[in-house]
Amino acid sequence: MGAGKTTAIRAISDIEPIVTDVANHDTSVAKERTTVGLDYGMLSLDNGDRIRLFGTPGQARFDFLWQILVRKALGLVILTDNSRPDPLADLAMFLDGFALQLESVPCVIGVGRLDSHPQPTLEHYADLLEARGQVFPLLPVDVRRRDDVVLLVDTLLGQIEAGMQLDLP
Amino acid sequence: MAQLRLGAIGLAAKDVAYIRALLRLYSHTAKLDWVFVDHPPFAAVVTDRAVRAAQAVWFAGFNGPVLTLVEPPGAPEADTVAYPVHAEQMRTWLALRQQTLRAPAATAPAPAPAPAPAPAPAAIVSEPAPQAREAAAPAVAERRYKLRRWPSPAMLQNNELHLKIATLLSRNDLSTLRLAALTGHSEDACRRFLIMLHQAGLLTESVAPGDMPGHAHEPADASAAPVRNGLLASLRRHLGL
Repeated sequence: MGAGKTTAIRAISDIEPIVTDVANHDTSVAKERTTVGLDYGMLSLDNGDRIRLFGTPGQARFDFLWQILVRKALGLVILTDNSRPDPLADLAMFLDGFALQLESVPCVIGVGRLDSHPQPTLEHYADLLEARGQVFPLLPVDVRRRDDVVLLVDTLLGQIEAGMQLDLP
Repeated sequence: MAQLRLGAIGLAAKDVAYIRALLRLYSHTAKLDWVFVDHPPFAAVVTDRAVRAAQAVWFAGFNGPVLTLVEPPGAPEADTVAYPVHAEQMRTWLALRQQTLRAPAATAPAPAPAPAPAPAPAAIVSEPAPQAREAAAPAVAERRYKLRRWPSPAMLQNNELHLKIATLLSRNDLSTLRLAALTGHSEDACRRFLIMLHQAGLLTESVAPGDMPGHAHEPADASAAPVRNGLLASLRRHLGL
C-alpha cells in the first residue's frame, strides 16, 4: 500500500488508467487515497496486440484478487514502499501470497522511496530473498519517473526471455 | 590419431611465440604429438598464476591439464614450469600429459571424456570461427551459470549489460554463448561480468551438453516462442526501448 501502483501504471499506459481509489482511512499510511479494487491500464502495440496492466491492492485482505489476476499474467512487478514501517515484511507477504505463481511467473521487485528512506537497503532485500532461496531483480524506483517504470518493465521482459530458454525435460 | 592441441591463455606475445617455436622443434626431435593452436578446443593450456586467478571461472570450466609458468623462487609443484620457459621442463610435462591424455579409457577410473574445450576467457585468445565452434559443439560440455543472489548496486554499476545479464541469470542457467546471443554483446563482455559475479560468490555453475540447436536451450514450447518473441519486441518498441 502506498507504493505507487496507480502512478506506475499511469506512467506507461496508453489510456488514462481506470482507478478504484477511495479516501484512505488507514492512519498508518500518509496518503489521501488508496486503491481498493484494482487499477487498469493498457498498451496497444503496433502488431495489434494489447497488453493489460493491472494494479492490485497491497493489503493482504485482497489476496483473492491477486490469485485471479496472476492467472494469465506475462509477469509480475512487486512495488514496495521503503517508507512503510516494515517494508521487508511487506515484501515477504507478497512473496508468500504469490508463492505458487512465482515458481513459473517472471517477477521484478521495485523498491520505492529509497532516497528518503535508505533503510532497509537493497542488500537487505537481497538477504531476504536469498534466505528464501529466491532470486528476483531488485531495482530502486521512483514511479513518478517514466524511465524508472520502463526499466522495471524492460527487466521483466528480460526475465520472460530467460524463461523462454528453459530446457526441455 | 589427431594431434593434441596446446593453447596459451593470457601470456605475452613473446612467450606465446617462444612456446609455439618450442612445439615445432619438439615435433621434429622428440616423440611428442602436440601442436600449438590459437583457438579452442584445447587439450591442454599454458598460463601463469596471475591469469589463472583472474580468469578463475574459465579455468574452473576447463577440464584439461593446465601448465602454470612460475617465476623463481617458486617451489616446484605439479603442473608448473619455471619462467622464463624452461624448454626441457616443458618437454617433460608435455610428454607426461600426452601419455595421460592418450591412455586407454579402460585404465581410467571412470570414462574419461576428451578434454572439454571451454569457451576462451576474455581478451586472451581470439574467438573461434562460428563453424569451428559448431564443429566442436557435440563434444563440448558447456558450463552454465545462474545467480544465487541478486548483485549489489555497486556491482551492477547502473550498467545496462550487467543488469541484463543478472536478470537473465536470475531466472535460468545459461552459458556465455547463450548470454551473448540474448544480450547482443560479445562473449568476452559477458564473461567479464561473470567473473565479477563469480569472485563475489554470487554464481552457481552446472555442466550441460553443448548449446546445440534443438538440443538444450530451445523453448519448452518452441511453436509459441516466435509469437512471444514478436510480442516482446513489439512491446519494447512501444516503450521506446
